[in-house]
Amino acid sequence: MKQRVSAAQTAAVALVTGFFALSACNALSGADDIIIGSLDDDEFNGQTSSGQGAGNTTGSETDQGSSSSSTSGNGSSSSSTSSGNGSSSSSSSSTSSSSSSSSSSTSGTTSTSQPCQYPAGPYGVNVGQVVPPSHSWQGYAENATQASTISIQDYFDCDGSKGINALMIETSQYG
Amino acid sequence: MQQWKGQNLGIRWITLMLDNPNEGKPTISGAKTWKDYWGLDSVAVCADPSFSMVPGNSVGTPMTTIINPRTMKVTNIQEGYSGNYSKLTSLAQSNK
Repeated sequence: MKQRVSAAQTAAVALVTGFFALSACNALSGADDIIIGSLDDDEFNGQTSSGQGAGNTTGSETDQGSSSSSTSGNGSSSSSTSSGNGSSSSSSSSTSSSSSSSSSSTSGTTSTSQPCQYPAGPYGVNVGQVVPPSHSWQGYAENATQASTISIQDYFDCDGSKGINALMIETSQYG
Repeated sequence: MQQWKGQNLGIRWITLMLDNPNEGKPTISGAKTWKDYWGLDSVAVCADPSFSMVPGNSVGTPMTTIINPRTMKVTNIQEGYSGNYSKLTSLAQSNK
């Protein structure tokens, strides 16, 4: 009796082992389909190098009026914790009720931490136009002792995170 | 400039040189000379041989271009020195 039972158990164990082996093979073979990484799209300030609009105004002063404080980019995250796409720390306190649904909602709706894209044109240097992102100059940055390339994109601050609230470019000459 | 720093308005300033001390094409060394002469430590000073911020074919210097860093749009252009920076400071205040 004992031997029969143990034989049955052995057969059952063999079946179960075979089942797990098969499922493990499926999991391994399907791994490539699951891990389709989304490692791209992390570039900062995608360059859009279109040409500069032709300027043709020659007035002593031109003005656009007051600036509206509408931000073209995404708003910054409120907690200022993560700059990447991570969503674990800020949502952990509010996901006690349903963890599975929270993970899907954070990846689907909260895309506020993307870096700002340089504004689209029309590009130009007249009032109302966007300064071309290709503008850069050789010279000395603030408090710098070494010369470097200074790009207009260094001063793009869509959400105020750089602390830049206004930019003045003074074109001057010796003579 | 000192007033702006004192108020912590977040105003940044770039000076673009159109020529050299010898009135030739602007160079990096010429920009450095200007920066040192005027003590522009907190100002970026660069050479601009292509007159990149000049709309049209002529310019009266100094020409001041005010840009909103939120949108990178030009909000004001002033040719000739006025000493009035109210539009610059008001822009900074509105973005604060």
